[in-house]
Amino acid sequence: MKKFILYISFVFAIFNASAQADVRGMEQNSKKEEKIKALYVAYISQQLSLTADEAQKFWPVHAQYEAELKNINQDNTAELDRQQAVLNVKKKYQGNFNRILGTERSNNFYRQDAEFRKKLVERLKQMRQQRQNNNNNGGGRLQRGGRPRPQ
Amino acid sequence: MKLSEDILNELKTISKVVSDVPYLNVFTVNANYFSGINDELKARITVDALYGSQNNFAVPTGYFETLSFNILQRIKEEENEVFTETKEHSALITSIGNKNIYTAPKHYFEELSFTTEEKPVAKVIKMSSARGVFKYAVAAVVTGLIGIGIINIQDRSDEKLPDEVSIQTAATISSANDILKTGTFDKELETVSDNDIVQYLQQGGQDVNAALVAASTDDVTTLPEPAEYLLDENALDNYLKEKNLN
Repeated sequence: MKKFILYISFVFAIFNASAQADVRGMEQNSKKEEKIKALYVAYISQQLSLTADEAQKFWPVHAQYEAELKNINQDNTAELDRQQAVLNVKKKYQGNFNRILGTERSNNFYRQDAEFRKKLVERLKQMRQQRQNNNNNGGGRLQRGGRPRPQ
Repeated sequence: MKLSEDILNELKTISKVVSDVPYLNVFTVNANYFSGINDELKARITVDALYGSQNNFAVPTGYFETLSFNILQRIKEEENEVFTETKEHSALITSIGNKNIYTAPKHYFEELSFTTEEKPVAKVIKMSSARGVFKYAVAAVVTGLIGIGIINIQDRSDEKLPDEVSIQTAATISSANDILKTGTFDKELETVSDNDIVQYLQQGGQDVNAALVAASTDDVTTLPEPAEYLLDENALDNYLKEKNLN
């Protein structure tokens, strides 16, 4: 009986520790994601010239919009179906964004949303280019603040 | 009748003596012979007529007094005969004698309990009903703890509560306001790692490699010249490698 309780406690402790590690990992990922989200909010707010009142209405709706898009992108559906679903969500929220921002700024939101991603891709390209150059100059040695290029 | 005469004639030829015997019923009795026969028979039958004057069931004098002695004497004689016969056939069996081999020493059974070695008896653990209930209670508590743990962790990992979302959104907006106030957008962007950008873009459903290729080909001046493709079949591969895309 004692052995049984000990065994169950041991299994539970391992399970709990593993789950806690997962949660900590998720929290860390979430913090990193938060940083990019903050940059996104800053970028969109600046590009759309959001007032405090508009921001108060816009971002909660945007949070729902983003959650729906995230769910679609997590599903392993066919690419065209996924794109269609993404487009449907964008159209679905267009009315809400129109009511808060007006039609023109709402359209601009979708453009700036794509523009932000483009900026991230640019930054990514720049980092990889820089790493490539460092590798070429340093004979493949690890540079300060850099990482070896994945093979 | 003719038949009877023929038979008689034939009998005469066989035996004259027999044929001369008159044809009479010799088994006839007088009239009322059987009506008085009962009394007549009783009158004739007496004890003496049956047994005579001597008593046939008499025993010798003192017969029963010596009967037991005589029987034992006879048995002993027979035993002696068996013993003598056995002795003649097997000396070994005779040596055993007629002693009772199944005898036990005096007071053997009274002292038997003291001479027997006591075997070690295993400890008897009584399974009381309370212990059984306790076992199931412990199992239920442990299962419950595991279940609660799983539910809590799943709750934390699955869906965030609306309040949590709004708090997170508020925190993000606050951070964004700080970035705008200090004008550090580009500086903050530089602190974001390669992997974090890739992860964020992938979560948004973007094909990162395709986006990188598209971004690289935006600047047409960097693309290889058409002639270069003809001169070097690896021109495109080299270009992609140069752009860190291959």
